[in-house]
Amino acid sequence: MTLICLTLAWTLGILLGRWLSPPLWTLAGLLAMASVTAVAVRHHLRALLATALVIAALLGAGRMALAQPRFDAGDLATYNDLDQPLTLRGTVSADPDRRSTYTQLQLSVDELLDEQGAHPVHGRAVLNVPAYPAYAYGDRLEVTGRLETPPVLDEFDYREYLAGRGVHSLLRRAQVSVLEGQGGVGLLRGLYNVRLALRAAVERTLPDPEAGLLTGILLGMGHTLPEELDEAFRAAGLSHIMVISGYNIGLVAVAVLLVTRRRLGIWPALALSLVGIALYTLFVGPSAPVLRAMLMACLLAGARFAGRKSHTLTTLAATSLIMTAINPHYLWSVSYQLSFAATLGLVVVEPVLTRRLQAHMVRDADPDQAAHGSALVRDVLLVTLAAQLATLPVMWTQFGEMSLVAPLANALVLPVQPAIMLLGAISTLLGALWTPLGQAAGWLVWPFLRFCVWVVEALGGLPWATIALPRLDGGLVWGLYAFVMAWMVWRRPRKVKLPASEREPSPEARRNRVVLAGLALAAVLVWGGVGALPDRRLHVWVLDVGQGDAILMRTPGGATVLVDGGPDPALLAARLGRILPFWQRRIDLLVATHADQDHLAGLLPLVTRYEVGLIVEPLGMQENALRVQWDAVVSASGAHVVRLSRGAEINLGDTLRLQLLNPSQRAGAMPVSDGNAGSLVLLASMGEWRMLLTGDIDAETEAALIASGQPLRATCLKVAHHGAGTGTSADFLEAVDPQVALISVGADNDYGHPAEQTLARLAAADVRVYRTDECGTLEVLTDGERCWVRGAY
Amino acid sequence: MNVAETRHRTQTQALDLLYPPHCVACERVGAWLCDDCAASITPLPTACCPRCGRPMPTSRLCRTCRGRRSPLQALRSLGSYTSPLREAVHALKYDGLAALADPLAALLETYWRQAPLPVTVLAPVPLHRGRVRYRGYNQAALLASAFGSRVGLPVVEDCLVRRRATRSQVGLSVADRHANVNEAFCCVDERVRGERVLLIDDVCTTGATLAAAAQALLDGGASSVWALTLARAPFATVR
Repeated sequence: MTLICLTLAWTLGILLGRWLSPPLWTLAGLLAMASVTAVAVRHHLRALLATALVIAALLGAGRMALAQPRFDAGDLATYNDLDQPLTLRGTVSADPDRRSTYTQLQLSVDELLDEQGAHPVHGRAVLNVPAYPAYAYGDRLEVTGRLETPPVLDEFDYREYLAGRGVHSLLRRAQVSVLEGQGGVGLLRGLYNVRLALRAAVERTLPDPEAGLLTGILLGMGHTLPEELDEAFRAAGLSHIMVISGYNIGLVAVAVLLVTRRRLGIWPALALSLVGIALYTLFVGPSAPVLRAMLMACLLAGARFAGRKSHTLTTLAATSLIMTAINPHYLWSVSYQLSFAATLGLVVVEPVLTRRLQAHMVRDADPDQAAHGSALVRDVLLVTLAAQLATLPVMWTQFGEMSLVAPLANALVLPVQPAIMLLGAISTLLGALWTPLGQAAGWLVWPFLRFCVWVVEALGGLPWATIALPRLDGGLVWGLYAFVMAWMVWRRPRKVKLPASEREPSPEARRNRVVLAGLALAAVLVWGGVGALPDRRLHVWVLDVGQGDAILMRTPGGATVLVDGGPDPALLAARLGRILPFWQRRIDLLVATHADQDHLAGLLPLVTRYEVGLIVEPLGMQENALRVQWDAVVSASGAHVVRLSRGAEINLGDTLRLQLLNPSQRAGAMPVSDGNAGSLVLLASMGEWRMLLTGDIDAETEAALIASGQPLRATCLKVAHHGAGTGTSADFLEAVDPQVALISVGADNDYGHPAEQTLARLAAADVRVYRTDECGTLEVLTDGERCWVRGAY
Repeated sequence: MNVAETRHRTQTQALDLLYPPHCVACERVGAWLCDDCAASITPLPTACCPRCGRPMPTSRLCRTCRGRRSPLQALRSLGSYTSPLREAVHALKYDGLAALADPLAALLETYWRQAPLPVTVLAPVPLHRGRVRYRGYNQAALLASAFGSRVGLPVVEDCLVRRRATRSQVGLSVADRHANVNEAFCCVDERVRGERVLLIDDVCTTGATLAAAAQALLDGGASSVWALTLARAPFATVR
């Protein structure tokens, strides 16, 4: 208990130190006085303890004072907010945070370049760069951009957040060039490379968003899910399963112990499991929850070495003391607060709940049932309830909301986590060795992941999933919290004596359970497979990928065609994963109509995630930055590329025919500057049914198409350029004479798409209009004669 | 106070700060087995078979023991194997709480002082080498050395050894238990020759292990063998 009090005093000292920011010499003076007092009262236990508390508080204040950023002449932050762009050199000092559409780099800057030459500086900056080309930890870069002080946003103190990471500058609009690679610490570089390879293996073996979920659960690489799913995770109170935490660390430790203890004995096995935990910590990155779990594991192992048992609350206090001594800014970090509050819930709140329940059950039921029943309720419900209650003030002060469905969601999802980790690790490792092997193993883990996503979507999507909490003063919330926690520790109910049940489940019962689980898994897989079999119809999906185009086709024979990919790779991957059967890792034909962000960006990572049969590009696709990245990605993947123009024709399994109507250039033509006009225009046909895919063409190109005399008549029209007013002229509509028009457009987009006049022209031509911003993903089915359209996929 | 003692005390205080002793049964901070819980240990019935501990109307040999020659002179236990002794033995054996050995030895000492047995040396029931490595220590040896230094009796370790790794006795019937540990022990040197040996162990259920160890000690030249364990499993638990 002494250490708990000392930690509280130390923490209070840090808070006061930040609030009052006393000068260091005052603190030193007070500290000297307190030390003298301590020596004087060393024989009076209570007085000594009181003095020790004062000393702890003073030390805490001192630590905070030392941690306040002080910018001297050579510090990078002194160059913040200047008017002109600066050129800096530095090394990428952390594994790049690869998001779906961009990558965030942390740069440890050491040189500032100007007309006079290079000046030594020191400090860190973060900068956002495009997802391609990819940078790695240890790359030495030269960057040019504007340095800014990180902003304090309404909802989120970004400055404090970055300061906690030792970063005091943002670099905006950065131009980056690589000077040399292979810097940094070799071990870390190796670990990060392994992690990247494993992530690639996951993405090759599983469809999205399940692959994104697994990378989060297993590798600690978050931010790979589409934003809407991230939102659903938060609403369902399940974001924490995407964070590496004590659970993973514990699993690593137990796995190493299990494998080595019998052979080597306890002490070498313990030492090895600590090494394993340390490596895993480096592997997934030392975030606050990981560091907390690692320190607690070390302290637990230390107890074993000392022949003692750890007192969990004291261990938690010691961990907090060590972490805030390393970096007092942790106290203001959300992940640190959540991690500690959740652990506190498990240590303090859960026993209170469980013992209350047990006391009731012992009174009302027979003791053996009470033992079993309470263990079940505890595992399923009370643990998550305790964690949620304990993290409530963090959710309150930081997010201002509370998830109502979290207890249910957690109770459903947590029991399958061990299976996901185990099967996921196996399929990932196999997938890294040989992709088909990993894919086969991936079928086992996929149903579990799918189940999690299903729970998240079902519960997180409920309108009342979260409730907003009234804004309250943070100090008040935390004060109340401290009081409740202290009361719970103080008035802790005594352990209820339950008969120690030594009844293990019999081997038969255990075997039956495994067989049952296996049968259920097989049934899920078979039904999933049957539902996804080709049905002798052509399916065309206009995918809801926000503001952009992505159109997927599956022929009656099962061949797949994807035309464009929208702006966001994660969103595209999630949409594909939802429609294609989970084992399908091949796209037979990939068509890029032109190189604009909202058509091409989503396709870049897809080339490595799926096996692609053939890539079709328009002849003379525009040469923008994205095109350069696309060419690099495609040539690295080894996929076959053809550049086609008017007159070309592609037949898929002699049912679906694709005719190319645009661009009109001949081979060897110069690249066009206007990408939209150079868009591939496709006429897809099966039997009597036709669909015209128009890319982003405008009225001028439409006129050229009419003039070319090519057949334009089609049942369905993919409206050009998301319904922009510059295209879909009345003449063109007359020439195509569609019955159905499909518009792929993002809700509330910045461009005002679709334009009023376009909609008016469509209405005048008596065309049924379906829009992805209203209906979600649209599906067109045809058997070659009749045609159906379905929305809200 | 000499240097080693001071160092030991400082070390203990530091460890107490980081890993404060808390009761294995009720979790109250202060001691590894708090006084309340220690007082609630269920003593064995006073009238019982002196050899196997079976509750009897009078303290005479029970029918089974009368029919079977036992190598043990007498078998004593501090209390029955129920809460809180059960938690204590579990913590000592399975949770690595070696620090609990001394408080438990202190309880044994109090119990011993009431009616000491005429023994000359102590011998812990050994574990197989692999099991010691797996667990990190032999809990019976920890108990024996703490108990020995308290009552002033020498501990003879590593004379009696377990020569084969027997499977756990948990879940076996009485006959199977005897068969399981039969010939499992032997003496490797002459240190117990002519001694009156007190075997120390944590738990005794049917006495099969103790009997086998006692036979090995007698074969090694001990003049008589007695036994003291922390806990004694209630008779009903073994069929």
